[in-house]
Amino acid sequence: MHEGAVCREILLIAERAARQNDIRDITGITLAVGTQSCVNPAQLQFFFEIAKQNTRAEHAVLTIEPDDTITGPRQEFVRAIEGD
Amino acid sequence: MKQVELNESVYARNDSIAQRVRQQLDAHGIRMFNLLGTPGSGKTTLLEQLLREDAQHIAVIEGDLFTDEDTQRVRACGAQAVQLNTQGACHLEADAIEAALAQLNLDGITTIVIDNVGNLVCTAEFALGEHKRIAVISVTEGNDKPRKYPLIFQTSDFVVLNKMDLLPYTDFDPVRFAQDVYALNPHAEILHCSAVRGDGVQKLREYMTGNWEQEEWQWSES
Repeated sequence: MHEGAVCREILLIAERAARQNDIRDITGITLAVGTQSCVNPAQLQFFFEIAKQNTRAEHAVLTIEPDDTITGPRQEFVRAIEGD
Repeated sequence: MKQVELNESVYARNDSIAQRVRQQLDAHGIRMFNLLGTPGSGKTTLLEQLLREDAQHIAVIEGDLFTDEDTQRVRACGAQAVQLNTQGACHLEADAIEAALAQLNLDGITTIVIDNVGNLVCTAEFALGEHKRIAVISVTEGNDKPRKYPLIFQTSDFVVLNKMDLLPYTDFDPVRFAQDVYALNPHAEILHCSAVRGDGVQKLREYMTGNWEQEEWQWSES
């Protein structure tokens, strides 16, 4: 239910990293999600498509990777971004 | 095409603000409690009972989607209160708490209670800088809540089982409930309460003002 907040943080992290690395156009963001993480991928993608407008991630695809090696709650990590 | 490895937690920003909030509280010698639970579990009624004895030293941060009704209730008890309206968001985050603290006069305050948005899911995921978490569950909600919503029980220090005066009218099994809570969190303290009658409130007050260690906030299970 808090996918809006998670989405906002993903974009904050990605945009900051893009500025620091001189990436103007983010094309991909990879999110690793642990097994007990209470994030719904479909909802997160829905929020992402709306929230990415007018950011450096406007053309980005969000890839959500379930990672069964990560246990415990609140385990969602922005693994990497890519772009030009 | 550039690729940048990050491995940054989406909770990192909130957690660092929560830590800043905690440092500010510790500098003032103030304890903060995060009151969590379902809508209607009796969080605000419990708070009113707590304030009945000592409204001068307790300040309240009220979280709700809409209205300042709970802030009015708390102020009627004589306590300072700040209302946070999330306008639809299901939980409070640390930056809102930091802003609320700036609105409170902390002189003479020993305790701050956050009356969180009524929600068993999202509220548990966000650290607010609190020293302890108090989950409020009522017997009318049914026995299954620890099994269905484990995180709130895993991360709460006190579990208040409220509306015990209604127990004879429900099929709630307090023994099974305690077993389920302890399976998730062996350190949890379960308190039987009836907030409307005031039963069990003194025990909670003693816990809140007791002599426990001010341990670092952390997610021990991660």
